Amino acid sequence: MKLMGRILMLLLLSWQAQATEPVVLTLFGDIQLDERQYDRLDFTLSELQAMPQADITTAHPWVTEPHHYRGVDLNRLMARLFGHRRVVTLYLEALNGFSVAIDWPQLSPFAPILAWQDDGQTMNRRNKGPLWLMLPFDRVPRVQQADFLHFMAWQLRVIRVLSEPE
Amino acid sequence: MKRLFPSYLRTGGQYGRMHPFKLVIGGLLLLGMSIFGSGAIHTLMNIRQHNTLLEQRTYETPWSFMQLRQEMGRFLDAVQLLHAGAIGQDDLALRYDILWSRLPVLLNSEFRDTLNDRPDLWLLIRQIDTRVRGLEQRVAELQPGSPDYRFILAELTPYLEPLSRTVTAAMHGNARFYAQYDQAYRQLGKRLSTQIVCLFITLVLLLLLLFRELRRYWIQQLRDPLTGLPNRFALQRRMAPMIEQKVPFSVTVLELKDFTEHHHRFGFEVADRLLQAFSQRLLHSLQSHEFIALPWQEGVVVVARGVVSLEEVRAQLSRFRQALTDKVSINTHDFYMTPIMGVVLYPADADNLVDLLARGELALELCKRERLPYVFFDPSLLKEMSRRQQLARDLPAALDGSGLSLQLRPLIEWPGDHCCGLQALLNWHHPGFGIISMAELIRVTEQYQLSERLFMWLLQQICRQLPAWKIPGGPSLFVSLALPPAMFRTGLEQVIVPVLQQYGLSAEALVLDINENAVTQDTREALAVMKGLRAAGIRMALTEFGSGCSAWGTLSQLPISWLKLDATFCSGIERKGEPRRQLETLFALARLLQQPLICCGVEHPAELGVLEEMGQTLLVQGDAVGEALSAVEVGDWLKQHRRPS
Repeated sequence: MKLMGRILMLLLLSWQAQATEPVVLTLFGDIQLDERQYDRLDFTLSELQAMPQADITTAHPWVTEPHHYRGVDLNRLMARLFGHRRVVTLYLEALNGFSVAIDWPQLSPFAPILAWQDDGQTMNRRNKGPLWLMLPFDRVPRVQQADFLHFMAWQLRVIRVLSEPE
Repeated sequence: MKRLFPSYLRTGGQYGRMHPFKLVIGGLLLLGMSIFGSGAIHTLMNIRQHNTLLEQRTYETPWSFMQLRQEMGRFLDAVQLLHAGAIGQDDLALRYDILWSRLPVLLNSEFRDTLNDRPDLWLLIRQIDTRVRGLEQRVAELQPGSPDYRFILAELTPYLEPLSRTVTAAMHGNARFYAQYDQAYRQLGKRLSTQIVCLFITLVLLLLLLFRELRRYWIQQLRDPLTGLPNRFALQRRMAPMIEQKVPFSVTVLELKDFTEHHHRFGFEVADRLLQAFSQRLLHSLQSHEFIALPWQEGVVVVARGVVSLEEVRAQLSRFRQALTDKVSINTHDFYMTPIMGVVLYPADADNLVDLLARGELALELCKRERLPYVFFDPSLLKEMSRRQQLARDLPAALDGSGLSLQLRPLIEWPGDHCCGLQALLNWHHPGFGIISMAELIRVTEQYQLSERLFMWLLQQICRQLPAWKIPGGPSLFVSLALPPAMFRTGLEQVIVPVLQQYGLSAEALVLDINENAVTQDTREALAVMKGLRAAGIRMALTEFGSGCSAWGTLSQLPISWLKLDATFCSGIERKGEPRRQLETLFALARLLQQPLICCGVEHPAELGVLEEMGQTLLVQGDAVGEALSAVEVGDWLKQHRRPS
């Protein structure tokens, strides 16, 4: 009974936290989750952290040494929400209004993540957070690096997913 | 240029080697390709580098300054909006945080490196950073309507102008950079297109050169290297479609008469040039429907499309003979080329290429053997060939069995009617072909390498029976055997003497008939062989005296015991006339050489009378003195015709 009580407490707390926690990511597109259709989904940081995670350690032009990033595995997120369709393009929008279109079949093989943690520190808005689309940049072929640099949008806020039927 | 790039194969030319000039050209083209190719790759890399430079230019310094300027403007606008109560604290905090986030990008060491030549800008960013960080408390506490907003505006507004100037300057710099970049890009593009065009041209030229070489090798593969005539492969390619379409044609196989002899006598160089002249003359005498080829060494083949009648072929052969009439001078030697020709007709004589050529060769062989200018293939030639093959197959069995019968013709001393010896002859009663004559038997054994076996068999038979024919106390009797040309070689006596010894016979009991042709082929070796035989005590008679072409100097040196006249010299001598005069000449020559004569084929007593008149002791053979006897008859006949010593 004690255990059940604790679980209920935790669930309550988490609901409360969810109720007050700000939305950090909004996804638009033909989303299908738990057999229900959505055209928009909002995620708080906790919700994102509860999803399948992945790690990337890489160097890139904004840092002098390799950093370790942790975040949502974007491939698995796309598979979960758009498993019934073929994802074509992601339109990323940042807090400052920056936007970029990404050819998903080109990016997907590099296993991108929506990083929320940088070297063990949760990223905030002052430090390119709360979300940064991170790639294993040092593993991207040199000829593609210039293109891929655009895709690594920081202070990411919205993702619009263009998909088509399989 | 035609000499450097021949489209046809020149005979006696480069023997398939590439001209050094062509090798140099090929090497230069290859070098050109490498230079232009590597140049194009280098230019492409330069273009790529330019692109990277452009990317960096766009996304690093000017972009970051512009972003900073933009975010500072947005933040100051947000401060004023909050003061007016239009937005909330959260919105201001967002703008403040975004402004904050733009500064570390410009302060990291990489940017510092790019701003090395602009310390004022570096200082400006450091100041802005310090001021933004210093405003954190005030921004958090700012309330709508509060006068504190002025302080924030006063802190940051002075930096808007320098930032704008910097952005403008960066934009101008960018514009200059783009202008330079465009110029460099155009130059690189022009260079790349020139290099690609040059690369393409050298590639095309190289391919052209390789294609010509390939074509040359292809032509070479279809031609004989010496004469330049199409080879057997090319002949097959020409004949196969005609055979498929059932178009009638004639195949004429030509060879130069005595070509092998010319080869041996004048060497390969002269013989090769002779063959070249032969083939070129024939080539120039061809008509439009004819095709020439050299399918094997020395043998030229002319295929005439649509020729079916013998008249047409005869006209063709006459044209060839006419074309070869003129003298050819090679290395100061003058040659008159006489062709020998075998003709086969398709489809009358054979229906496939191999048979056509084989039958043409057969006709040619007959030409050589019978010394005819040309021979048309006839199916009887094939019958003749198969008959000989059958005889050759059956002969070994006949030697082991009783198919062969020995015949002996007496050799009578004339005048005197005394039998000195016997000439051994063979008769073969073949179960399929009947009686096979001695002449045919010898031809078959020579062709099928059976002559030594037959000779040894004959020698054994003679040696076995000779002691039985000898009359006790009588004069010695010899048996004359024709020696096959194949056995006429050094050490022959070592083969014969042991057989004689085996039967207790002396060497005197054997006389070998040696053909004049065998002696004249290689006189020195012939002399050595004959001396060997003579040293062993074996006597020899030179046959066909008067019908060959004897070298008289050598003839006097030969250790022979008789000169044997052919049967033709002893016929028609009963009356005075040319035959008699010819015979008298030969007798005179024999007297000069101091050699006794053997006259063969004396059929009539009148001929015997003439021989007697010649006043010379000689040996006579023929029906006039004694018919051919079988081995069992010899003993009785000798008893009647031999006088005791």
